[in-house]
Amino acid sequence: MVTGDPMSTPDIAPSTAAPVARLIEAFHRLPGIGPKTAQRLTYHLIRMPREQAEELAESILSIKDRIVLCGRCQNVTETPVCAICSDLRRDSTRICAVEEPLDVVSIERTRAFRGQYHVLHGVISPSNGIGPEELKVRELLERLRDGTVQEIIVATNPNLEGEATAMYLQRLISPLGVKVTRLARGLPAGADLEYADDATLAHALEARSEFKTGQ
Amino acid sequence: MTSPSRAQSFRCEGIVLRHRDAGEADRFITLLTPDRGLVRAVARGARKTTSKIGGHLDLLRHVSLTVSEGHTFRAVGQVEGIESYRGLREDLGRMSRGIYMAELAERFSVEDAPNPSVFRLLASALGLIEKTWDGTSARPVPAQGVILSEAKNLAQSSDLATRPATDSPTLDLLARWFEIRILHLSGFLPRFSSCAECGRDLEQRDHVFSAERGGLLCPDCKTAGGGERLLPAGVPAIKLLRHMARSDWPAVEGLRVPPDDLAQAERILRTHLRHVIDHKINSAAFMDEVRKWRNGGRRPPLPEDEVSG
Repeated sequence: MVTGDPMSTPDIAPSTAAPVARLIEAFHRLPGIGPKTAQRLTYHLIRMPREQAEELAESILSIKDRIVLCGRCQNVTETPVCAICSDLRRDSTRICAVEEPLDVVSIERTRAFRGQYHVLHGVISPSNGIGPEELKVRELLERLRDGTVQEIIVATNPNLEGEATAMYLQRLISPLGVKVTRLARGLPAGADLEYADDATLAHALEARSEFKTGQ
Repeated sequence: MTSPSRAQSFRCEGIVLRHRDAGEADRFITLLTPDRGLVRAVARGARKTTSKIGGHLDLLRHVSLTVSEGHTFRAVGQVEGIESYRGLREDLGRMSRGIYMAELAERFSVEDAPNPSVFRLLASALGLIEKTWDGTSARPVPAQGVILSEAKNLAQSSDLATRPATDSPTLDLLARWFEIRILHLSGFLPRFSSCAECGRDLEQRDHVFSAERGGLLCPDCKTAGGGERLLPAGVPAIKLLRHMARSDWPAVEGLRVPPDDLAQAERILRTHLRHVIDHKINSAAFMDEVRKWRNGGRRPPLPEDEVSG
């Protein structure tokens, strides 16, 4: 049985050619890629036509060369200010603070939010040595200076570190006279009450709502 | 005969100390268990919103679970919640102390080595964090702590309940008690009654503390060696440390300790812990920041306030 650190170096046979071993190691450093997947991807690339491999390599380099963080919301973008921040139809009085750029994509998919975003690029994780100063909190405060923003919706994940970040932001921002709200918590669609944890069930009970009539 | 570690699966209880996302929707977790020390396992699909186990595997949750052995990793099977410490999750001050205690418990534990006493200490301390008065609201339980003769000098005449609303003395005291208890259980308790160098009983007076030499030093031995850090240890702080080292929480929680003496005890314990662990305690900075905020921006005590011999 092996219970070693999943981030450890993959077990590569000594006879493996050096460029192959190097690529396996490079893939293994990516999030969610285990040693077997790293090997599988590498050997797939070996069989791939050269044009496709070059396209992949160029794509990787172009995100390093051309992608910057939006000067306002800190989301990844090609322009100094991203498309959402430049869109005058968006409500600039509401900012939804999220952990990662992918969270913007998820919320945009709902089409339920027409405000702007702020990407924190992580959450407070004290035991990993990540504090507020490692996040884009200072940049968020800068956006509150001119008094336009009336509400910050904290959309960090509903786990301990997400809650710590949300409570920290609430303490920081509320004294500035800006309303701070948190995404509701409760049972997800398709869930089973039998397996719900007690904290989620308690939140769901507390935030219960009446049936909407006339619809 | 099959040893427990080679069984195909086992059932255990544990407290989630660490987690990391993996794959599309998996999560690697580290648990502190009583019978196997640290257990690392992958919880497959735990990040999906419809996962039956994900909600139970957040940090600082006490759970009962089955773990199966795998070729590469152990895998989490069924999970049932035992305690979520909800009160701890809804207050930043309590949460930051709970995270700090969990990090200490992890540092004093190793994988697959039973550590029931540290597990019980952490489980009870997390429960106490929930129930302990944080100084910002009406005290839930009247102060009934045992004030022993040695600790009587620590008492202030003022009622704790009338302290400024920005202070959180009892939670700080709980964190200090946890530090000293985990040092005691792990065999690293410093010497507070006799000189760590010559072994002579210490007189009732101010002394200095050396983490390198493992305790308080008598006046004859207090000369600092090259690079050694000596911390001041006044009589009230020494009495507090001695009392906490031999007491359960009910005998400690009612103590009324002047903030300066508590801060001095904290500097001593923090310095000693860093020396024993030989690693920075990551979560201490956040705990200090939250506390500093609560105390209206006052500078928190720092381990650097040292004296030279």
